[in-house]
Amino acid sequence: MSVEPDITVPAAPAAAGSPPTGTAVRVGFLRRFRRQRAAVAALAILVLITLAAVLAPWWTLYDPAGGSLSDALSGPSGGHWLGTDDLGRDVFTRMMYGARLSLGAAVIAVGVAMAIGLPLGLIAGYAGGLVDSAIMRVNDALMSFPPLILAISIVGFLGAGLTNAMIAIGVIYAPRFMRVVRGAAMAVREETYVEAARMMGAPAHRIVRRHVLPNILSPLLVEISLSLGFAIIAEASLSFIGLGVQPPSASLGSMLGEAFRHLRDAPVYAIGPGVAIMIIVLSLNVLGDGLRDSLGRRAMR
Amino acid sequence: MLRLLARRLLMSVPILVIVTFVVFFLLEIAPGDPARLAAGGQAASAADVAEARHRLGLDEPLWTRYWHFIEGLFTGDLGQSIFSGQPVLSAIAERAPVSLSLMAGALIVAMLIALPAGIIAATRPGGIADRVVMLISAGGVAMPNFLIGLLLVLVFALNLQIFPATGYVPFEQSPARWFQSLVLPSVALGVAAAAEIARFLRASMLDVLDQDYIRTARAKGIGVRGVVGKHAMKNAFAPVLTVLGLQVRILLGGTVVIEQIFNLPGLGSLTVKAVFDRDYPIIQGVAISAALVVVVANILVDVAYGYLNPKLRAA
Repeated sequence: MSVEPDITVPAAPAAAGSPPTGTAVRVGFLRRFRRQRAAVAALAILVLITLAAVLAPWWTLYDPAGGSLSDALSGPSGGHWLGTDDLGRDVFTRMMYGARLSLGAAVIAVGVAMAIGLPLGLIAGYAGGLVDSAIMRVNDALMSFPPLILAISIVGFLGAGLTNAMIAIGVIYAPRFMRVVRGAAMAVREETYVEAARMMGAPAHRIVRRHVLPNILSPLLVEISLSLGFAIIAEASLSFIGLGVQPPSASLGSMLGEAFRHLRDAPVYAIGPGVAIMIIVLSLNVLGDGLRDSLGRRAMR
Repeated sequence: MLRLLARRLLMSVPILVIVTFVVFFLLEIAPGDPARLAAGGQAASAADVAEARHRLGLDEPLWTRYWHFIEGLFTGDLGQSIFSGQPVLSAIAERAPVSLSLMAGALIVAMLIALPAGIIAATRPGGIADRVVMLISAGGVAMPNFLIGLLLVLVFALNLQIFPATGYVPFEQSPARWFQSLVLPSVALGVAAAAEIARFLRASMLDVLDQDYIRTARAKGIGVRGVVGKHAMKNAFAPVLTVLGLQVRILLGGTVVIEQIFNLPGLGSLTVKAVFDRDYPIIQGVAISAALVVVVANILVDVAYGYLNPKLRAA
């Protein structure tokens, strides 16, 4: 698998000379992305897993919350592909529902992170000066907390539960978005065409919407992809120690927590959710790397 | 060098002020009335609640309370555990050695794996060793540390029974068993860091090995080992330091989960217990100490960076 083309394969030359409109940037980006085979494969896997997870209620054979205790902790069989858990529930079915919850939680958490980070990053990057310094100091402070400890502290004060866990994860990853967006906005601000728009008297909000936003879409996409992976792991960690999703619901992380408590009697129980987390996060990372490598030189900083 | 250190220390002041404010402000987002909680919950009379509010200073404005909070920090008074009444500072001091040993162990594991892996991968880019290293490190980055911990417990503690599955033995009691009790947790925590560091070291080593001065050294007849060890390493390691600094944050957070798995009495298990007990002062104390560790680690990284790259000292 080649996940390192950033060094061996020189990035396709950015369309020098042509006006860097949003559309031109995007077309070149898509063309370069299609050449990243590993990233395209990762995207396909993610689409497949997402479909399987979202559509779980319509195709899995068992009730994720119901089972008979007489079947408890049975190993894998034709009827139960990954066996059953301590309450006799089908592990494969629960895994699909768990993936559904994990993916949903990660998407919402990243949404929260973006809702905080995107506007602040835009303001900091475009306004510059004192506003920028103030926002960035807050950013630095938030980034001084170990992410998981800040998340646990927030959950500690808000109370355990999935919603609060998603808010907490959103807050801890907001600085990443702030940084990426700020950097991209600062670079775009210096471009001649933005300067021209400013000279012609275009108001700041229109410049940001028409010129800055389209140009930071690509780095934003990379950050979203990588952050989704982090968010999945963060949610899994919180749920693993019992601070995230509460029973009877389960995410991949809380399933691993249950599996850990039965590690002695039923080690197979951990395989399904463990492998699922790994594949999802690995795919998101490979996709993110591929997206980053597809960015032209000028869009990179 | 001293100027760099002074400048970095000065830069940390506003960050620490905001950090303390964030932690102080956490109390404001908690649902429910802390005064009622302190007065004994729902059953408390209005007079008791009012008395508790005054005693805790909760009837004062936000900024006054923040100021008292800062004053407390400077005198080492982080409040007391609501649950046990133990001063927060002493609870943290009691648990910190466990978490710090775990972190140090994880960093050692990470470097022991990442240094050879990154260098081998970089000296033959595209070769079999490189592909294997890159593949494993991609998996290592994607694997949550508790999954690795779970596998380690399963294989080495339950099946092979080489290491204890859980528990902690203080160093003073038995250094050998202290070491044993930390091996599996350190590996579980360090693998992801190793993967991340190996990827960075490989990339930065590739950049450096491509430079003219390396080609000159090679042309003068110095072997690959000599070039890597004497000429390339110092320059290739500088970017890796940044990753190392970032890893301190991740590792510190990771100790929480790993301590749960291996039942280690560190800061992580203190925090998780405090969350379940709603023991707010403990959570605040841990959050501030953790941020402080990260800020200090970042300063150390920057100073080491200045040592490796003299150009940065003046800047």
